[in-house]
Amino acid sequence: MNKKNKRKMIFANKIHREIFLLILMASLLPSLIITFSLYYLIFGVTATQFAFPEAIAYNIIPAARKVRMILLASFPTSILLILTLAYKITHRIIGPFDRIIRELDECIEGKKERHIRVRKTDKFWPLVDKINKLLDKCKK
Amino acid sequence: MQKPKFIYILIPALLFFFIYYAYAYNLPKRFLFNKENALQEWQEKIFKNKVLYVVETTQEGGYLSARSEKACSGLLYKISFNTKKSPMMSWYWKVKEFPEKNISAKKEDGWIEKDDYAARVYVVFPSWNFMNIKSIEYIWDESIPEETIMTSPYFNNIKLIVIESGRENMDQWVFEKRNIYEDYRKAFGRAPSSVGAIALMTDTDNTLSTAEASYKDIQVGYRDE
Repeated sequence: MNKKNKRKMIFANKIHREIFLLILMASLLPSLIITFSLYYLIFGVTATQFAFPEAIAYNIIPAARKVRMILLASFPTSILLILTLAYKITHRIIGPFDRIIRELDECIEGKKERHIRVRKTDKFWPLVDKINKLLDKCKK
Repeated sequence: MQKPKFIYILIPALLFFFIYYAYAYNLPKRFLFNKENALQEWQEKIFKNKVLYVVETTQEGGYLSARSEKACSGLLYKISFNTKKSPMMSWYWKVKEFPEKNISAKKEDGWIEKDDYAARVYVVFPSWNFMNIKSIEYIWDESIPEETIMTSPYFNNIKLIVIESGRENMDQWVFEKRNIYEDYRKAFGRAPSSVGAIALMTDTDNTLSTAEASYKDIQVGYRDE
């Protein structure tokens, strides 16, 4: 299996890949910026107030290490969870999209006479239903 | 009319020089403690009870006296300078009473329980990442040999340098002159960043005892001619 086919297996099409990337960036970037800002605001400013290194080491560094541990454990987990959900939802939206296009092409070329079929759980089902009704009307 | 291109270089360059000279303008900084309000420019940081820091003005010149009773608080002065260009720091100090470090307790207790010194002078090297803050502390201890360099029990980035030891010079003014740049290199094994603050402390919060010391004529940020 070549690399291109492998990529096709993960993402249904280009739109799928782009939406997934958008979700990845939308979840990763703001959370990284907010985490860094809050981390700096809370610990950096407190450290400046304490000023004496012993006080920083005794009061702030243990707390900062604990927060860092929690972040290291929870951040990748939550991002992974978001991405898994995003992948499943976008796949359900984008997956049938290719099939609709393909089947519509076949209809246009006259290779196909029957209805376009999608699962009722697919997000595009209402659209496909309308297209099928339109196809029926055109046949008459 | 088209603006000449060199202006884009000139303006940042001028800005840089202004900042650089403003930064080094106050050097060397000298603290004589000869006025009642001499502590106004110092910030007091209290960690456990308050050490009594008092400016004593005399005819011979002033000094800062510190008396700690089971307390830990320090005086901090924020000053920025490059230790490569202005590496020297000097001061006079005097110890009247050392914290009681019970010898028998030394074996049982950890080092933190002994981390009290009659007199400490800090040089703080800040960092944008507070976990990288570093400091060297010049201390006068009753028993640890002179020129011993120790790592603080609180933090690996704090190095304690014993520069005066024992009771021999107790109750008399002792002059100290240190090359911060060289001391930092000895303690950390690399060149220091810029200094961000200096501080003074007499503390007895760990030994729960009493200590008394005085400091005078502190001078920082100069070159040894």
